[in-house]
Amino acid sequence: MANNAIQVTARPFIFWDGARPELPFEVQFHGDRVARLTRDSEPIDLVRLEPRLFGSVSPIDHEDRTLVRLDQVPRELIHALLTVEDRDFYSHIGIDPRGLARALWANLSAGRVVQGGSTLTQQLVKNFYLTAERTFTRKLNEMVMALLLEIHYEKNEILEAYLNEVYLGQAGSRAIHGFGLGSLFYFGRPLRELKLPEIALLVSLVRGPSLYNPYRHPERSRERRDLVLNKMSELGVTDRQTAQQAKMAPLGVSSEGVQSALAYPAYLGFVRQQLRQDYREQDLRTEGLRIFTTLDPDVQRATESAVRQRLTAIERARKLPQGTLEAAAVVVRSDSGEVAAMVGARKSRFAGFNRALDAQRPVGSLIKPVVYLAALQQPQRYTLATLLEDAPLRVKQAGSPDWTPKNYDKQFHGQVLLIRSLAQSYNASTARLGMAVGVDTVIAEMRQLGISRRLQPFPSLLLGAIELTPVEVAQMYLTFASGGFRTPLRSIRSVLSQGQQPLARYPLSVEQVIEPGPMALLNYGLQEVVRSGTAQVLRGRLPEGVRVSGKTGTTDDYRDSWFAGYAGGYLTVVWVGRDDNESVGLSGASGAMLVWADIMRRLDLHTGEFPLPVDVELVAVDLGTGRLADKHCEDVIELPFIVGSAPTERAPCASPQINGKVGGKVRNWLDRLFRR
Amino acid sequence: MSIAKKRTASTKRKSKTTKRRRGRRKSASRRRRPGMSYVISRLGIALAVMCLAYIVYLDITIRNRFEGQRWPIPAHVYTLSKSCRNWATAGLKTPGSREAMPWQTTPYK
Repeated sequence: MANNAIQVTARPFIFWDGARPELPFEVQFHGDRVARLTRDSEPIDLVRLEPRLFGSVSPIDHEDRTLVRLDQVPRELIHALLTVEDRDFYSHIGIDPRGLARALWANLSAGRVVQGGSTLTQQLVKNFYLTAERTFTRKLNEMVMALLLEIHYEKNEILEAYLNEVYLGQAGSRAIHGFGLGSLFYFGRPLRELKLPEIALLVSLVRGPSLYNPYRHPERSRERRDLVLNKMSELGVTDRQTAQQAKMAPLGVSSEGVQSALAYPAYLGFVRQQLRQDYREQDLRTEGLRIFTTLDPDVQRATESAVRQRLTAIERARKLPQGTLEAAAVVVRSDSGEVAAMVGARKSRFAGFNRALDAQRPVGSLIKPVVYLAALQQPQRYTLATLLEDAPLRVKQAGSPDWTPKNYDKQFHGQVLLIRSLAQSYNASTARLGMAVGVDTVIAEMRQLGISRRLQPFPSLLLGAIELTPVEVAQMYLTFASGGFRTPLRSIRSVLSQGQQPLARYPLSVEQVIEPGPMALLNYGLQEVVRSGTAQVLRGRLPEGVRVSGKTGTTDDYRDSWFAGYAGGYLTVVWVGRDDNESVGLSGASGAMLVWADIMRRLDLHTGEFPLPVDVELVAVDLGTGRLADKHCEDVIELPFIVGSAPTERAPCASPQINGKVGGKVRNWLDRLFRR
Repeated sequence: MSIAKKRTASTKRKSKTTKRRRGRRKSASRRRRPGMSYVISRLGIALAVMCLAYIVYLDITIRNRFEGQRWPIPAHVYTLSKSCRNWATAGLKTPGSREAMPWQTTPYK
């Protein structure tokens, strides 16, 4: 046991309910479980871990920077910076002949370039240019501009601009400018929390971010950091002992894989959108806000790796060119609508096109549940056992060619039960159902579910010829997953001001938009998709006892592969396709659904049945006719019905009325009794 | 100031050479003498104006660029906070690791 114990120190953190100082504690493991937590040998129940800082935003502007104000910058950083870069900063006029001479001397005596002669002002001016060419005119311009800058602005203003502008490294395609962002990037912490060795490391990067890159050249980086520390103690900015101690410290950069500061660009984009939407602008203008989101780093990591690995596997298995597939995924906690994870690209760590939020793609069969829901809300007309006709159909559309929906298997299936049509995702029967219910009714239903964009009432909408983003699809399915309550997706739990006061937000409206009865029927139908329909492959891929509801979506020529489904407390929507809209040859089940299963398998899903509402009863019906079945029938399916809507006629296979009382409703009543 | 001095010096030097050549190109040089200084002085003024214009241009550039840097201090964004508790699994599947915040409301069951 003792060998399985580790010492941990939780960092100090100001939580929403107050500050928690640094907290050392010990964890003992038993297998892969935490067996015992102790602090100073006293057992404790739990330790709150600090949340991870993963971004900084200017909620109003579009720029994504971490700006610092001079008074927030540790004094040591300024001392260190001026020591190595520009000692006479506060006395020169923008250019510094003495400094230039000193640098020249230092370089000559060292035999290599160890010091630059440019003042901070000149460096700042140089940074304003996009290119780094070194010509005489450029140098002259730079000097003139440095002089001009000094005429117009105070030293401190120039220094502040420098601190925010200086180039400190590269994160993928993104340049790291400024010490604020640099601190987040290299150490995952805000600047004011840095200690002397870390400050010295940041300052050492000014001279050459790639040359002294602590990841690629740790030795060189360390040498340079120690040089900065030496200079500081030489000039007496820090005492010898402190500098000596600092030199003992490791580089301390956060490991490259978990540079969380910039890790979740897609999610951050969503947070920004919601900030603007849910909070008053003048409130957001206050400085030093802290935003607590609902991003779960574990779920996010699971989602990222599932997307990455599965796409590679699909490309390999189907001999597709590597790297052509793209994907987006949204994971939502279905009881609250809190978004736990979002992936907007296969390379999820690179900021770029956020497909989860911005890619509008045709949704295909993902729309069908809406059509069926609209029907099931009229229990006197439609039940899960209603027979639909899956036969050729021609619909005239104003201004476009006639609409003749066909099935994916290029066959028509005759008379099918409504639940079967949904589970097998038949197009012809769904289109007929949709036309009978009315396109306008279906659109109204989508509004109820939370889709706010304008929709044209074309019949082809019934089969998903409309474009939605993965986030919109998640919003729509969230209403299903939450049992008929329209809950806005949200990513922000709270925004605290500098004084720890939560900012007021526009009220959230949670509204029951679908009656529990029809919702339960649809839910049952979406479970049937997994039990016997297009998502059968999922069976056995998730833990025993987890109830899965879902729907596949495939568009023309296999351009888009979708899966939206919920199970065990999470709703997840996945899209797979190509950015250039070429065919990927994947159906919903052979693409997005596999990614979906990989994500869900890694989550902590809870098991259990959805309780049926009181006005719903289970009745056994004959699969062929949709009429009452009994033990004599072979193909029997037990379906939920809103009380009073169950079929009354007996199926041909069932025995006549006399035995019916035992076989029919009474049995179902008993069933229900034991089931609940 | 120094530019003006240099100019007078150079015109003197030029006047000497023109004297020496006076015999051959008398009429031409007489016409050129006032013209030269005129042209040079005008050129100097033009150059000075251009220089000034360029400096003003640089000044505007640098000021625009500098003013553009002033954004409000941004907000910090945090993930969900998790906690380490007894009998939690060490891996991803940590039952009960999600922490309810005081203001977190569950709208329905």
